[in-house]
Amino acid sequence: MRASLFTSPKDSFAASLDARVKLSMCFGGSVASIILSSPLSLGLLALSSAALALNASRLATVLKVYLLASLMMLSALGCSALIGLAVPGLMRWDALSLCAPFLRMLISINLLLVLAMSTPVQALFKRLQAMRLPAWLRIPISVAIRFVPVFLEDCAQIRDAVRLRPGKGLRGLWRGFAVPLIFRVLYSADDLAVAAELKGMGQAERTREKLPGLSRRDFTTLALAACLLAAAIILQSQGPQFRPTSM
Amino acid sequence: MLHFSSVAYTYPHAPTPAVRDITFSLRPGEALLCTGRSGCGKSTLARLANGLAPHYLGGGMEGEVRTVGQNTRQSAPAQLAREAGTLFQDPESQFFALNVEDELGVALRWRGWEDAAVREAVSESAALLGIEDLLERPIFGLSEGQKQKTALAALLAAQPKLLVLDEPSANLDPESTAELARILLRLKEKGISLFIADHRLGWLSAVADRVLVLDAGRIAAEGPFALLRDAELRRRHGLRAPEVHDPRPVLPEAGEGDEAFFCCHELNFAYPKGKNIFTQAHFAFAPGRVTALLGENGVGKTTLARLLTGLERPQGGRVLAGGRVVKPRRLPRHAQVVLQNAGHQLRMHSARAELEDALPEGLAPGERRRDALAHLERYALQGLAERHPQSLSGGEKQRLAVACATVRKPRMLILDEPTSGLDGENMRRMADSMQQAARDGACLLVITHDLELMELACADKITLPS
Repeated sequence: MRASLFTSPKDSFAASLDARVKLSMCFGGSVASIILSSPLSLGLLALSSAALALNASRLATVLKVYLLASLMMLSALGCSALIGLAVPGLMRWDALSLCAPFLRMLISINLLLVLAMSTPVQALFKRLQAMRLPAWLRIPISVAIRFVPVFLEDCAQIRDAVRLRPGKGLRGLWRGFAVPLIFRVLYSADDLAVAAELKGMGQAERTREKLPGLSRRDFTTLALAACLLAAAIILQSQGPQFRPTSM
Repeated sequence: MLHFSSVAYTYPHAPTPAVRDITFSLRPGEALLCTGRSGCGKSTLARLANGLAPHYLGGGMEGEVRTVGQNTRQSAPAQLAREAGTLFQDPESQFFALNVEDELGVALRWRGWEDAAVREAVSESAALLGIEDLLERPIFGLSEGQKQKTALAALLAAQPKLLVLDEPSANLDPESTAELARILLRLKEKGISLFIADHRLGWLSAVADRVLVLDAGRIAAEGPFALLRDAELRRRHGLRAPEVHDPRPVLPEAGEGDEAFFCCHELNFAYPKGKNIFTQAHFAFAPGRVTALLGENGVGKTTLARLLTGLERPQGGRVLAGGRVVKPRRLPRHAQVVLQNAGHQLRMHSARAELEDALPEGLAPGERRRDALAHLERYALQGLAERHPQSLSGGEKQRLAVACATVRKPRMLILDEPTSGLDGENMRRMADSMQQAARDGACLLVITHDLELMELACADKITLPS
């Protein structure tokens, strides 16, 4: 089984940042992408987060993830088009309303890539345990993070099983993956819940472990991220206003 | 330390109790071995002792269980776990941190221990089990023996008075099992009580003070360890042998004879950024023989199985079947492997459908059904034909996965720990069916730590160097 999501993150600026900084950027970026709607503001955040994502991971990885996101976006557009055919009055196609959700998704993807590709799970897990988060927030996050390597290992073993005994047709392929995966997910989740129960998770109010302080590089990055966020908010309120244009 | 008084327990939605009329006591520093057929209720007693039943699992309980003086009905599992630690068959399933040091301290931190006290307890229990050099290591890179020690050390760090061990030897090699026995003896001397549920008996001859034999949820026999030397009792309750001889020194090394059907030449393999596993290695497997693949953990036993079945691509060398070079992606047509976690390989809605799906194409529906039922019978699964494969027990899943692999009539069949968690009766049945598959013309390679299986089924061995 793998030791972490990405056992040896590449030596990069993003990898040298504390996990707390990256978590804060993820949180801040997600909130900003919900609040902001101006393509200029969202574009600024998307560009800057893309630069960091490229620093954290290989270009090929970023492109693969973008491709997947584009496919998801296209299938969403396809569904919208079908609804538009059935109820024409419901759909309004314009460049602006398509651009904003795409940029929002891009920001979230970039920031998650930074977190996932440059942070060993162990570091993330430890920070979450030691942060002064309330138990109702810390426990589900910790369980989810602990669950990821188990899930990936299950996926790898099921892929091997399908290669050994290929499914007959699409249905067989789907069955070969979906049925064992659903059961493994349930069993693994149950095992983790039992382990958490027996270890007394959530019994003490909070952990007593002390965290190391943030470095100068961490503070500088946080300050830069705050400046970018402020610039994006200013662009939204003071910058040019865009009118919807029909496609 | 542990007291069961007229206990009966029924799992939710189950028509009958899993255990009933259970009464026994365990004194401080005493070790009680609980054994019996698969599904006889051993694990249920362990779950009743640590409070998972009924608190976590639900279901109905009668009678009273007292664990280290606490009535388990009134105390939550987390509260009971402060005094009574539980070690499961697969220690990995109970890990919550990702490196050894954190794992040893995580439960203490969650219980609110101060940092200094956690550090002291962690280093004490690591020293007790001799794993100080592992503290910085990631959990998932450990061998099975190291994982078991880590899980045990994590329990001991909390200074329990009782340990509940559910099939602790199932994934261990004979050397690690012997070391576990020595550790348990030391714990007994420290006054810790042990409740051990296990199929494998030989390693516990010096540890267990008393034995409980369960059958269909009831206590069928109780007494000293010598009780297990009664062959009739063992046969009646499907038990394994109380003394196990190590056949490894006397098993001959498999030769490279002309009769080899399946072989690999000049095999080179290394994991990315990892050490070389195989360099210019040669292996040959003759049909009609069951060969044991031996070697320490991490020497590449499972990797060889994956290479032979095309799940990994070698960096150099070739695999031949019947004298012809076979590309890795075509290898599954000739070779099948049943991996340790058999549940991953089961996908259909019933055991019968699973076998029918595994059968080669081109059979008439009637023939398909007949073949499937014949294989279910061969692996003693006929009573479970319509059960969902994922609802079967670990041992039943294992047997079904092996049946699905043999039904495809591969020329090479590799089994990875096929008897882990199997009782004596099913272990012997597995040995018989392996020999039958070999008689049918397959090359059988078995990766196993089970000395009893080796003695019963294996004709020769391949030992991978450390």
